[in-house]
Amino acid sequence: MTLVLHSLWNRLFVAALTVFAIALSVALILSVERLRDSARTSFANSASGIDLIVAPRGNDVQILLATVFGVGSTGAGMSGEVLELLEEMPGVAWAVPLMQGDNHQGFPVIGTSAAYFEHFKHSRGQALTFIRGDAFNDAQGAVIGAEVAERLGYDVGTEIVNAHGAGAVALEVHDEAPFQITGVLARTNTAVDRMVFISLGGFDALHAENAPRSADPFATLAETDHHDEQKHDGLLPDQINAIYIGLSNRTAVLGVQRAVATYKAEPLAAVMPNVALLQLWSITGTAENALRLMSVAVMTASMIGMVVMLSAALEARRREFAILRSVGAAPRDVVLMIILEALLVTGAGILLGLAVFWSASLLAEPLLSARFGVTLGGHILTSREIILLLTVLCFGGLASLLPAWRVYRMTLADGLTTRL
Amino acid sequence: MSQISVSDFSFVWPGSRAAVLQNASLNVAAGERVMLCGPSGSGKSTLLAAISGVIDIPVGAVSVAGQDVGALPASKRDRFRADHMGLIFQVFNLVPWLSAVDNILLPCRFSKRRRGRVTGSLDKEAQRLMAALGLDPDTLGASQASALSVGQQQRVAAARALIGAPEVILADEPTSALDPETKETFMQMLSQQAQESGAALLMVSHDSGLDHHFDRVIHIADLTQAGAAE
Repeated sequence: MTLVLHSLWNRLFVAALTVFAIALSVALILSVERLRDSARTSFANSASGIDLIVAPRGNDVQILLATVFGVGSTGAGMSGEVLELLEEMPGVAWAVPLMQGDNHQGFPVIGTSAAYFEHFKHSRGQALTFIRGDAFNDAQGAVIGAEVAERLGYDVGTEIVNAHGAGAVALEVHDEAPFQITGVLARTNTAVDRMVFISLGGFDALHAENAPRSADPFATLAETDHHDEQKHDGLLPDQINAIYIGLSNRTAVLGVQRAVATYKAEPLAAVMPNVALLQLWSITGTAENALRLMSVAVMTASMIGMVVMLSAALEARRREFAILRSVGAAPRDVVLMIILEALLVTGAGILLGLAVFWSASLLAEPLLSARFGVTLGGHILTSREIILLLTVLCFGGLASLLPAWRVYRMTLADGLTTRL
Repeated sequence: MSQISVSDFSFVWPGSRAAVLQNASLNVAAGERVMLCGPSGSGKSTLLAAISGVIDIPVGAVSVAGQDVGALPASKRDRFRADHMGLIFQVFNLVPWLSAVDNILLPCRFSKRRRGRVTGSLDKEAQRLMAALGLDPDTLGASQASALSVGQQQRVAAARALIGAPEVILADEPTSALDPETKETFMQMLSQQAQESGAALLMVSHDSGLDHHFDRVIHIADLTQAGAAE
């Protein structure tokens, strides 16, 4: 054992390079796995408690992304009648309308009712809680997610002004209609943290003149100069982008879905979040697999690198082996030395890779959480990841069998001869 | 009692038709110092390989310290070699990335018996041997083997062969890379230490100038009826 360490130390440069290569590939594999898992749990956490999302007919995944995650938009709106209709539909426990399209310094602004804070659930059924303040009760009130509060330094009482459009660049500022923050939500580690909620009335006040809204952002832009000329006349049709629905009875889901789909006045769709998520995973699955394949390829390359290192050194170490044999090492001992070397190198690579992975996740965590609402998870290692690492170690051992077998034949053939 | 006993031993290298050794016989007693000389290719090294158990040999041909080497399976022979023999080669005896002391202690890593026969601490014994062979243990003990001169390396190799007092010391032309003066002191110290430890020393050399260090000088041709096979 100490012999092996000494021997590796003697080839420190090459050994260190190999360790580094393995470390990088380990970090890569772990990151890909962890990102994938985290993205999935984050997304799944965001969509808990909602049985159906009703929106103008469109792609299920798009609807889900736009509503729950605030990514993209649902396109056209639907009329307020739909909301009333749904609320009265048998089996429906609650319905919460959503209006979208504005942002506040890059954070999506959602127009909704106060019922949102009551019904929206995240992370396996946890309700939203206020760390400060309370829900809004008038058109000027706003509630902000934890991330928004933290990043922009807002608190209850701060006045904010929203910008139109979903992007981070404020194309046009609604500075004629400021809002006052009434509450700050506790951190959920979902997209809610990055959202600004205002009442439907408040949202209307901003957009009264824009109805009917078009899916084309430039069309909306062209119309936005008339703000003050239009009078604000309450809830307009075609303003609601989506409606979250909670069912009193889960079995009603298909009935409600059909009723929505066959609604005559407007083309609508009712999306089951979990089904849409599965669709999303099937889309991203290809990319995930490609990433995984890449990381496995990198791992294989680094393993080959290690075999090359061990094999290349064999010729130069013939003498070393001959000496060891002369002092009583059996060919078996020499083979064990090679395997042990490989395991040490792989093991060191794994440890270094873990260090790289952990520090990288520490660095990337705030960014990922802020930009995508994805948290890498506080856990050190999942059992799956441990199995993955052990597999890598086993492959390291297996890969060393090739040079080990060569050294076995070599020591047998060389014996104690001291040829050069 | 003879520590090395070769009787009627013949050997043919695999793939070669002519026998390198034919019906060779040799006995070396404990504490006896024997020099074996002969031309290249006459089978001297083969004989050493046979005694040290590196090559497969028939049962009953070679016995070392009372043990029939040919009767042992290959893995036991390696262990047996570590337990009972010290070997010195021509050049490059040392593992370059180990210190002199670590090199000397190598047999103790592989052999419990050798370790057990050292009285006191292993490091002390290594240092004692270094001093006895004319090396300063304080300045050279920790230095890497690759930093030593050839003469120093050979002495370290001798110390390694001697540590743990094995019954048999085999040396394969250990002096051929040394200059005449170093050669003389090296041989003097080696044979003195071998005698002190009571080991049987069998050394292959064709340097007749070293005769006086040995109890007996044998020509390889005298061992075998066939002599050189070529």
